Amino acid sequence: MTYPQQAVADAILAHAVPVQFDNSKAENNKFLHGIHHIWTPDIRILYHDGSELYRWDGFLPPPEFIARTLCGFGMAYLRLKRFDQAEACYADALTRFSTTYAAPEALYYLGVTRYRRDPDSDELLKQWDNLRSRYPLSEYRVKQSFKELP
Amino acid sequence: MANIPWVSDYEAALERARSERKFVFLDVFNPG
Repeated sequence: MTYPQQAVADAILAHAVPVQFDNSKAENNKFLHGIHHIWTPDIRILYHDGSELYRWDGFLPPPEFIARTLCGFGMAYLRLKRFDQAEACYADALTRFSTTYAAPEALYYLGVTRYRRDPDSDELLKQWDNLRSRYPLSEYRVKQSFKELP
Repeated sequence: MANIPWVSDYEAALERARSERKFVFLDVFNPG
């Protein structure tokens, strides 16, 4: 339902090599035990040394999936300090999928990305201010709420 | 309909990701 959508495939293939494991096959048990697999779909974004940079479980319909995938790649790039690519992923999520559940995360980390690239900029507080107005009921609003204290 | 070129060789995927400066997108699924 989700993977046959061209936009979903494009979102994955732009940034990653796609690998699939069937958890019903005994031959995969050792690998799946090693990654502490428990539920499907079990999605991981990995660095080329096998380390995990982002993960989520559970079905998502195409728009939610693409937005979550963009947040995943954004975080993966951010952890590698590839700030321009992280910024592009978060900005894309916010431009095309601003009403998804992942959008507040994209806005929160857009600010983090720009701040980490240039600590002298005011982008962190600027984007978090946007977050408060655009997604006031989100968990990510709570995560920046220490900035709202008197 | 899109056709994602999934691979099942994990080590080969890591090596390809390294050479292409990409990540590995791992999906564990249940066919049921």
